[in-house]
Amino acid sequence: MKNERLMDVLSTVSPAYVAEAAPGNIPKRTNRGPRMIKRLLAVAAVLVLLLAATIATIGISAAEEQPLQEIPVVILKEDFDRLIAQRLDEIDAQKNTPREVKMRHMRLKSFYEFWCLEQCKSEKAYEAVLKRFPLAELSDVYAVDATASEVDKEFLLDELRSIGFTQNDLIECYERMYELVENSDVENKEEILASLPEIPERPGEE
Amino acid sequence: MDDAKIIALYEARDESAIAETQQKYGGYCRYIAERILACKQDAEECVNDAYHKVWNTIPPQKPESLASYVGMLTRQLSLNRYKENHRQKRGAGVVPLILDELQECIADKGDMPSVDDIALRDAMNAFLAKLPQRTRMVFMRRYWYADEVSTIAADYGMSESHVGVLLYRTRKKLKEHLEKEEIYV
Repeated sequence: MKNERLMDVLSTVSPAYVAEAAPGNIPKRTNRGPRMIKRLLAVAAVLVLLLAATIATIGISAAEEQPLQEIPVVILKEDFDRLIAQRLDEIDAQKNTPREVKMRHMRLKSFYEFWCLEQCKSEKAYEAVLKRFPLAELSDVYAVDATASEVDKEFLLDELRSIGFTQNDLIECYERMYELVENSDVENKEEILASLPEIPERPGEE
Repeated sequence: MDDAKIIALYEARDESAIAETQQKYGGYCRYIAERILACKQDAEECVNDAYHKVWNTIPPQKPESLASYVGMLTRQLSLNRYKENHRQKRGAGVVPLILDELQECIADKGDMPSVDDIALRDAMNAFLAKLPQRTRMVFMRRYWYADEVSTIAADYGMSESHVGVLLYRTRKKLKEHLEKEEIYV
């Protein structure tokens, strides 16, 4: 059979790839490892926390070191609203400009088409977003309009960055979407998972 | 003992080479065989056959990495044993699932002739070279080492669904790569 042949040929791929992936050869980001390494990591984590606290006192968020690299093309509504509200509160606390903050939140939301089962603007539009992201079957989502221009997307990226939305936030939001689907009982689970955006590598992982 | 010294023992036809290989790579080879065969006894026999094959092929072979060489032989012998068992309805373990998954990577051949193993291997190497390191490692753990998704997820600190989707997308990319290169299995 063809798949058996592919499996056989895999035996002969470069030994470098075989050695690289050998069990026990774990990539850097992992919770396993010798006790000594764990201790070193714990010490390093304390140092990083101290450093982050120091940076925070001079008004620079540690999250700014890992700015957003791409806009979330689809995101759970609750995650988006929670994160944006949290970030804007931080800015509000620093700059004390609540009206401007609210305006920015509204502006950001307006860049996303808002879709949900009850409030979708039209049946046709709902079908379109459901086709792109069947996730909307399970939860309310914001999704970037398929027809959004590059200029709009760039503006959205700048706005999200300017309020401190980080690459790690994006990754966590995407991971939550995967978990939501994985833990659901829907029949078309694979189709939904395949429609979700690829989770980017965490900064410093490669 | 380092690999160069063990290989020198093989070249000198010194039978202690096999004991040294067993001592250094026995666990590694058993891991590979047991993942494929899901039977300790069959796995042990395949590993012993692999040592025998190493003895018969070095020289003239002089592998750069003894681990990869003996691992590759163990994997191939285990797959052969799996196929033999499967024909006798004794197949088990994760291999049937993996074969199903690999079926997704095979392009529809139409009237195109099948390529030889060397062209297919070269295409696989080129594909693996293009993958990000972590994706490549996950792919190899699943399709070379025949690991369970749950094991890979635990080792790499990822969720099982993340590993599943990563593998799904990599299989899709492999299919596209083979089609683009006009490699038909």
